[in-house]
Amino acid sequence: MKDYKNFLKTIIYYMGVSLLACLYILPLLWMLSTSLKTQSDVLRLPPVLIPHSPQWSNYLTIFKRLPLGRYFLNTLIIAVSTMIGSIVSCTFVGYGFSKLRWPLRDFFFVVLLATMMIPFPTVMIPLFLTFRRLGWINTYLPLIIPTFCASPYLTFLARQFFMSVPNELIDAARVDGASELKIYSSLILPLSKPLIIVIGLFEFLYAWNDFTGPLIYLTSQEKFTLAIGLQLFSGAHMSEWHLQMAASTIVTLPIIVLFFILQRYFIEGITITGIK
Amino acid sequence: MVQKKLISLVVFLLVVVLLGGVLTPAFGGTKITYWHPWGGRWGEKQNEIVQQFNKENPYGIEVEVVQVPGGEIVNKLITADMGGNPPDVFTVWSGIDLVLADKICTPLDKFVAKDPRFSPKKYYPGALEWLTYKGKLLGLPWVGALMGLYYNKAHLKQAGLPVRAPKTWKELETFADKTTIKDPQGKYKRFGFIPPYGWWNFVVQCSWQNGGEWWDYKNWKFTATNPKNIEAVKWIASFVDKYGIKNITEFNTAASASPCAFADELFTFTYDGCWTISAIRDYKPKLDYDVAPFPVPEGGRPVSVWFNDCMYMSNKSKNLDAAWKFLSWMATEGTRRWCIWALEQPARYEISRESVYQEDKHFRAFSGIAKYSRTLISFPLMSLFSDKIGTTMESIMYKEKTPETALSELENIIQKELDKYK
Amino acid sequence: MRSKLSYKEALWGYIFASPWFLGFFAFTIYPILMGIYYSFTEYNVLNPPIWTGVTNYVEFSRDPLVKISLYNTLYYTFIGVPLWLLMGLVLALLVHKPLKGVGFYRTIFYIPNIVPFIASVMIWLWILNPMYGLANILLRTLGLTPLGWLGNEKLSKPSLIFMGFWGVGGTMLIFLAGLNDIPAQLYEAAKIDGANSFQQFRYITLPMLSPVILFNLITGIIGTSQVFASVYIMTKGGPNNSTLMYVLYLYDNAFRYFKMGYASAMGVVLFLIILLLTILLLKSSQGWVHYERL
Repeated sequence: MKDYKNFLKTIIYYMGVSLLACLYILPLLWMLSTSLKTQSDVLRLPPVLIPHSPQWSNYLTIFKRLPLGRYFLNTLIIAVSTMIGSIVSCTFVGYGFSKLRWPLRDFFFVVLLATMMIPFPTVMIPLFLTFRRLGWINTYLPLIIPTFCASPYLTFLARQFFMSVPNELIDAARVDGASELKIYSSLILPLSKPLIIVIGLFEFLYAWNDFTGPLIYLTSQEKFTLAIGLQLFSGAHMSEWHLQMAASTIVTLPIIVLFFILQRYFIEGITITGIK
Repeated sequence: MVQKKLISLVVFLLVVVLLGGVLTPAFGGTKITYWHPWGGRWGEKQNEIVQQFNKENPYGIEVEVVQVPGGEIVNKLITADMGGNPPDVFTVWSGIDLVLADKICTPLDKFVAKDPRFSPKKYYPGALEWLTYKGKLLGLPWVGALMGLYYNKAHLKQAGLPVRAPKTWKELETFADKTTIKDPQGKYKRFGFIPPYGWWNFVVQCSWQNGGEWWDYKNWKFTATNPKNIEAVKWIASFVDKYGIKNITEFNTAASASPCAFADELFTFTYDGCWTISAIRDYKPKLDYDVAPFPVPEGGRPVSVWFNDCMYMSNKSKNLDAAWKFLSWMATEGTRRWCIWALEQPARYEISRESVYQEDKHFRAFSGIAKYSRTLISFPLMSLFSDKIGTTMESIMYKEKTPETALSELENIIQKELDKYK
Repeated sequence: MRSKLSYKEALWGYIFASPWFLGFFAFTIYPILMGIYYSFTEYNVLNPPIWTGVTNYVEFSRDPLVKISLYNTLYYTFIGVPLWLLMGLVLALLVHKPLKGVGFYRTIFYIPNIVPFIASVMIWLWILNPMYGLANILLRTLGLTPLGWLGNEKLSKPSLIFMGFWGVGGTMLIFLAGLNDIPAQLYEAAKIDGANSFQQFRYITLPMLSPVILFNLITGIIGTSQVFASVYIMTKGGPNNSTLMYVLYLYDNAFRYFKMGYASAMGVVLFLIILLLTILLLKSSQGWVHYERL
């Protein structure tokens, strides 16, 4: 009887989750479907979900329009660098704001949060001039270096996670004579695999799709990123949506695969956390 | 150990990145940069034309092209100019605000003075004036953007109407009424005509046709509340009384899914530019339609609004001479090659004499329309104007304000900003 | 027994925070100070700023569009953020199970966050199209009246909020990571004590998740109140200013109307509003957020 109840529960669960999944994947299916249409098929009303003659050649045409391979490499460089920068600096600074006590700590924590509250258009020009003075325009430095300085969103996240680490663990390590650096690297970090994967993934994805930053700071087309490239399918009065969706699909698929591989790791991460 | 690996990886990446930013191939002749906003196959065509210049020009000038996505090119120009590193030449759809052009562009008067290619007689009325500010010519036209009345002949036949374009506003209303169709549930399937009330050029054209004026350049006065303007705006707003604003906005939103709703036969009449001719040819070549000048009010006069896509030369360019050689080529030969390919409205008379245009019966209508064109002269803040007139018209269409009140508020807001640039 | 506040710990604290201090003083503080300065000037970007004192703030207080855009933004934020948070939590709970195929579901729920912004905007414009979009097709097949969605001034904001549900994958991930940190022993002990699922959720899950709930709430409010890109591309603030969001109006003033001084004043005010909300939230969090293990 109990088994039957559990079985029913499981069926209902799968039905519910599948329904939700259908809703969530629908837009992606639409993107794929549009990517295989001809220009006039895209414009056809009423729209069809499955194009009658799939234009796989669209996936070749996009490389003719733009140097997507080059953009892919550029974007990869930026994404990997920023991912490393964030993982290292956000956990490092996050530890400082959570498990260490120092004067004005909470004040500066609010300042850190406050830096997220300033609308970008307000600071865009002075920020640009700062990088200009450093000579970093038309390089990737304005996009990468700041991520080594603990960007606020992910540092806040790290801080929240570290606050949950039991103080007894840390105090015990301190009593044992471990330096704060050792505590950070050998105790905190290994306990935080899910956090690290989230930070890495979020930063990588942000850099992968970021459009505003690269557009302002880069002035040679060969340095452009995929996100900028995706915008370059429009004319003054019309766009080549079928190609834009094909390009978007190519930009998206590697990350989907990457995520599918990663998500297993950080869920199965660790659940045991020391002293209970 | 892991930290060491991480650090060395970071250093390696930084080195790659820095090198990537520093290495540039050596080059002999003069190099200039050109920014344009086109993407897709239009961007390809632009790049192709520029490469043709690189090959054909005898001056050893090499132009480096950068495609900047259309919506962002103005921001990028502003920041680049502030940083001291703007492109030598650039093109912008519909042009940049004249106050900005005044600040960052080289005036071209002394360049065109000795050059017969750029005599005002070679250009349609309004084309050069669109780029003139306080007596200075700040750029050159790339292509124009005239609008005409497209009408679906099949719909007219179905409704038993004369198969020709309506000549007056009243006639347009009558025709449009008869060709508007609803489905059995009462939802609109086709609209005869919905006036593009949010477009500044439509509002200004209707006003001008009615005898109104918006901008008194000599006295630096913005005259939104000119009674003839108000009459025109009232006519535009009268469509709400007939169809209801909710139906109009929903239908417009639905129609925007197609970039050529006219070709999809969602409208019998539409106010659109000549680029639609090639769109229809690609998409619905069998469409039974034609183009005519937009109807005039009773006692009104035919007028069209002219504005261009524009090309400019930066005033921080280090190679003014080379930049001018490229710009002047693009504005005469480059645009000719583009127009033949894209069938857009040329700004120069001679281009419209090419066979592609002469043989197209729809385009011939635009030649007629261009004869009556004029433009807003030396209007400093087009972006402000086009945004604000859009929201002003919306408030009128939604019956939140009367035309008199709304236009009076508009006049105050805009005059206040204009006075800063007297 | 916690060790007493020591000079050494304070020093280490500064060392660990130093990368942030470096970035703050190198990149952040100058633009912020300039932004504040510009708010007191008439600055059209083309010419150097001219000091005008509080003129911009006075104009700000009288500007009807400021009131409209602020209303729109607060509406969108305070209705959207809690709803999206809830959805993210629900999804996280649904996929935090050791069942077969759950990895696929996790991926599918996160895919919308991976899809490039320009693509998702195009997709949603199609879906919400009043005549041909999927949403109205579904409504019609269910026998309900089709809606105007983004074309209807009263439905435009709810439509934006509805779109937001699609993007809760990131929130879901953070909740997943948080759920992961809850030791299984706690649930086992509770089961032995006779607690049912709801009680387990209420007394174990929620309190243990409270640090990330706070995180998602604060970052949700900070981020959503600055919404810009979606309305810039999809609605441009329409119809009839119903989706004119604060930062969109700010951007237009800065880059389309050459009123950078005024835009900076708008920026300063928004900053103060968000700061106030955040501080209130942080203060209240002492009442319901549990950081240490129970």
